[in-house]
Parts: sequence; C-alpha cells; structure tokens
Amino acid sequence: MRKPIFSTIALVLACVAFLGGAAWIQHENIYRWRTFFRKFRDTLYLPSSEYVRVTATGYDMVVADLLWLRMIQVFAAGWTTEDSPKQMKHYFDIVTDLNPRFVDAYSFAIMAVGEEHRQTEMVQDIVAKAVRNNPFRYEIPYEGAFYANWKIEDAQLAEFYARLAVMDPNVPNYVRRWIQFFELKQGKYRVAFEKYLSDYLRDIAANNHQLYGIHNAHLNRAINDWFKDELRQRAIEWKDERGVYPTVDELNAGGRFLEVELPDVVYIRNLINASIEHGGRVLTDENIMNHLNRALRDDWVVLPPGPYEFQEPSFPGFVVWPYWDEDNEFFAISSAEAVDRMKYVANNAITDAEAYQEARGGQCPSEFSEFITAPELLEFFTEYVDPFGGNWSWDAENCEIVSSSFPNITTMTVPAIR
Amino acid sequence: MREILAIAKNTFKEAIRNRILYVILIFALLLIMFSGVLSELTISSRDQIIKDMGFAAINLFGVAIAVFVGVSLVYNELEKKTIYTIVSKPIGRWQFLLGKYFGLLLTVWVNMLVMTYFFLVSLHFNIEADPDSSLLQVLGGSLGKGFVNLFAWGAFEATRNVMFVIAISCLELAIITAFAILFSSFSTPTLSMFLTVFTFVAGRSNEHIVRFADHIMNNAHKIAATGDTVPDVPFAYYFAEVAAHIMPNLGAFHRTVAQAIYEDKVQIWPGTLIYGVIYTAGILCLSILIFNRRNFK
Repeated sequence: MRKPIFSTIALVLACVAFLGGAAWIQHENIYRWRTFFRKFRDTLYLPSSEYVRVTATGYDMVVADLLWLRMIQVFAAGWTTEDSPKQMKHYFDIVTDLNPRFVDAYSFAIMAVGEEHRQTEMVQDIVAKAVRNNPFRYEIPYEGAFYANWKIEDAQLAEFYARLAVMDPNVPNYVRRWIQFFELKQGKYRVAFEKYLSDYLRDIAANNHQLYGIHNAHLNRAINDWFKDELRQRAIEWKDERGVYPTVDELNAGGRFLEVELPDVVYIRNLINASIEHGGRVLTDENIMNHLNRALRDDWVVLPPGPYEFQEPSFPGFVVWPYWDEDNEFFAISSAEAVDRMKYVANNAITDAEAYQEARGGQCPSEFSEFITAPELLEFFTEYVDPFGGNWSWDAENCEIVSSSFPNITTMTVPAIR
Repeated sequence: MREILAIAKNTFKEAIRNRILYVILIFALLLIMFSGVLSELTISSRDQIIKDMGFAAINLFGVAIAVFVGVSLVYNELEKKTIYTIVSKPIGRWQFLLGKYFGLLLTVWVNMLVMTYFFLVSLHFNIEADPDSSLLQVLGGSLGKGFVNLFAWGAFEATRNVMFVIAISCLELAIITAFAILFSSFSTPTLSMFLTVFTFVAGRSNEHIVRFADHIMNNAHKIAATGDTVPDVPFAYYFAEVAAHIMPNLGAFHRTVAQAIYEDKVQIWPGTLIYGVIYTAGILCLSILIFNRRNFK
C-alpha cells in the first residue's frame, strides 16, 4: 500500500525542524565555548603510580604515553593554574614510574619545572631519579648540569652532573669542555649558547615544530644576555678608567671588543633559516658540532650585531644607558629593548599628561614638572639623555613628548622582543 | 591429526564469518592509524608513542578477538545440537576441542597479522617518510615496506624488532585462547567472557600478586619483631602465593615491548617460551578433561 504523501512530508519537516533546532542550539554552544574564558582544571584522579600500574594491566607504557600527553597540557596551561609545577611533577613521577626509561619526560620536566618555574629541589629530584633509572644515559645529567650552572649558578653541582654525563660515550664533545668551565666558574653564557643552539638544531633535525618556539626564545635570551654582559663589563671598565660611561661607539673606537668571543648572529640566523627550509636533513650530530664551533668567533673588531631574531635595521646593536645603575638590567641593553623601554616610560608620562588635562578642563601643561609627579620619572625626562644620545622635551603647543632621537616615540613600531 | 585439522579449518571458516570479528578488526586498525595523529600532540618521543600504541592495540584487540569469538565456539555447537553429528563420527572429544582451539588460534593469529601489517605501514608512513615525496609516493612506499617487513623481520631500522614482539605476543594470546576454550567448554558465553577477561587481568597482574604476598609477609615480620615472636603467616599470604603460581604470568611476554623501543635487540628468557607452551598445553588438557565428562543432554 502506498504511504500517504503528507505523512512523508511531515516526517521530513519534523526531521528538519528537530535537527535544525539542535544545530541552532549547538551554534549557541559553540559561541559560548569560544568566548568564555575557561580556567584549566585537572580532574584526573591519580593517587599514586602503584594504583595506576595495577589498573594499567600491563599496558604501562601506553598509560605512561597518555599521561605524558596530559603532562604537556598541564605545562601549556601553566599560565592559568597556580600549582602547575606540582601537578607536572606528580604526572612526571607517575609517567617515569610506569616507564622509567622515558628520557624525554625527564628532560621536559627539568625544562618545565626548572627553567620555566625555577623549582630547584624538584629538578634535583628529577635528575636523581633519572640517573638511578638510566645510569648510562647522558641526557638527564646534561640537563641537570646546565640547569645548575645557568639557573641556580651552583658550579659544584653543575660539575658533578657534567661528570655523570660524560660517563656516557655518546655525550656531545662540548659537554666535556663544560667540566673545565664549571671548575673555573666561567663560561656561563657560552655553556647556555652551546646548549640552546644544539637543542634547537636537534629539534629542526627531528622536525619537532612544537619545541621551536621554546628553544628559539631560550637561544635568543642566552645570546642577548651574553652580549649585554660583555658590554656591561667593558662599560664599567671604561667608567673606572675615565670617570664617565662610554657609548658603544666609543668602546668600539677604543678597541674594547678586540678578540672577545661572541656568537656570530648572522651565521646563526642563516643557519637556522636554511636548516628549517631543508627540513633539518642536513643536520647530523657531527654537523651540529661543526656549526657550534663556527657560530662562535673571537676575531671581532667592534661589537657585532646582537640577537638574531629581534635584530633589525631600525634598532641596530646595543646601547649603554647610564640612566640606570650598573647592576640594573637596563644598563647595558639591546637597542630594540631600549626603544621598548623608552616607549613604556613615555606612555606613562603621556597618561599623566592626559590626567592633568582632564583635571584642568583640557589645559595643556607647559612643562614636564607640571604633570609628572614621581621624581624618578621627572629625572628621566629632564636630567638624562636617552640611550641613543638624544634629549626629551615637552611640546606645550601640541601637548606631546618629543625626543630628538626618535620624534614619534609613542607611536613607533617596536620589534617584538622575546 | 586429520580430524583436528578438519575441525580447525571449519572453525576458522566459521569464525571469519563472524561480524563481530570485523568490527573489532576495523576498530583496531583505526586505533593503529590514530596513533600517528596522537603522536602529533606530543612535543617529543613521537616514534615511541606510535610504537606503544600500535603494540598495545594489536595485543588488546587480539585478546578481544580471542574472547568474543572464542567464548561461543563450543557453546554454539551444543546449542545448535551440531555437536551430536560430530561426536557420532569416529572423532574423539579431545580432537573436537583441539580442532576448535587451533581454528580459533589461527583466526586470532591471522587477524594479528593483518593488524601488524597496518601497524608496520603506519610506522613506515609516520617515521620514515621523506618530506620531499608526495603523499601517494609515501603511502605506496609504506605499503610495500610493510609487506616486505612481514617476511624480512630486520629489513628496516625503524621496524627491526616489531615482528619479534608480535611473535611473542602470539604466544601470550595462545594462552588466552586456551582459556577462552576452557571456559567455553563448561559455561555460557557471557560467563566465559567474564572469566576469560578476569583471567587476562589476573595474568597481567601476576607480578602485583607476588608483590602483594611479599607485602603481607613483610607486615607479618614487622608485627612479629615488635613482640619478639615467630611471625604468624596469614592465610592471605598462602592464597596470594598459590594464585601467583597458578595464574598465567602474561606480563613476562609483554616485557619485550620496552626492549623493542629502547634497545637494539629484543631478548627473552627461553624459559618463558617453554612456560607459554606448556601452560597452554596444561589448560587444553584441563579443557579436554572437563569436556570429556560433560553430558550433552
């Protein structure tokens, strides 16, 4: 018997209505999901590795892998949770109890809880556990040695870990050199440079995009700190000799950077770009060692260009900024960071000027002292030249701050600094 | 022997017609392929995750096939009364049961071989792929390499130990299959399924049972030390000890997975292999014993 046509149409309409309604509600759900801020909440209950091991019924390694992925998520959510290092350590303990040979988990944990959150005791626990479980692998004591030297500046501990690392015949050659550096309490920046550049190149060789950003930032920071440290030392020497702080040009003219060992950032930038372009296939362990040696030069005549990433023609090189004292992080600084800082201070002053205008019915102040109340900030604009040798002035006619170095300091584009 | 082979052949034919087999197989293949996607979520140890997931999927779904297909094999013969036509012929009950066992084992092993092939393809595709090659070239190359790998176990660096681990896993599944037949010979499919799964879990937890026994004994010693007396060994200790000896030690077979991932060579104590064979034989003998005494009315 033929089914009446209207019942078919009714069914089709009902289908469309129900599914359409569901899609409409889902559309609202998606909107909410996208716009609502969600705090990462770890709801996975993991009492101890013993319980997890029993429930894993022999698939310990798979469970370790899944918890490892969760640990990475906890690390990524570290900005929204307070106890991220503790959580990560808990995951780490379970992951490495289930799979004690999971070397990457140890390395990652040291980087995450150590370098990013500076939990020294946790790092020592991690290294101790790694050495216990993998006594013949250099990777973990190598990470531990680097962390001890770079972050907590404990040369003795760093040397101890480095000696453990060199017991593995596969250890990279430069780690053997580290022992001498640690003994003499020298070469802090060189060690960091070698570590981060080789890590980065290994990531490229392994096509590990996820770690590019992290190691890129680490390498830039290490190179930047190295340059700043050399510049700071020479500026202080100059001040001790002549009573005034020098400019970088004066230091260059005085031959103060002759035979100073510093990274060749042009070489590094080209190397990284070319390696990424070729998918890292040209990077063998031996090649990486060669690049590490070639990326360091000591035949400089003047201070070479700075960090490879945020170095650009508008803001070249480094500056000495005597407004800050010698121990201040802004005393010897890259030009890009200096501009960034200047802009930050100028914007604060502009906010004060706007508040002044608002309080006085739009009347523009006639000089800095009228609207800048903080004495240090006032000094910044009136007593000191800016890091590029220019002066600040207040343009009462246009109601704006003017710099003889950078006229549009509040609106200019500053390269991203990492 | 001919009788056993004939029953095994028929059992295999019957098993591969079972739809649940294909559902499990498709699910396993999807999981193996998914391991490549999962590995994209990690920041390192990509190869390790693909291998771990692959080995676990093959093993777990091998167990699932043995359980879901195996538990109803003997029961169905009884339920459909087809057993009468078989036992009325000059075929012993032991031959019937062994035929069923080998037929089921063949089904499990063939399915494992299919899963292993896809696992090998997935490994070659994800680990060894040349970024300059097109997707079709990589896929074609991986399909070919996977096939070669099934016969030449050590042909490729990235998959050198895979087949060895799978071979050991096959032995583990021979034990589970024997249990499926054992339980199927005297109980209903649902009960058999639960009993086989419990046996698998207990077998995988054998080492924990041993640790539990040690823990009980240590506690007894501690209590005895406080009173300066001879420890009174609790009953639970003997129970755990006996259970650890009777239950299959399946964890011993699974240890090769870690070796395959972290070491150049996979090694297994020959005693473990002998243990696997004689334990299976023992369970089959028990099955025959029970089946021989069973009344079909």
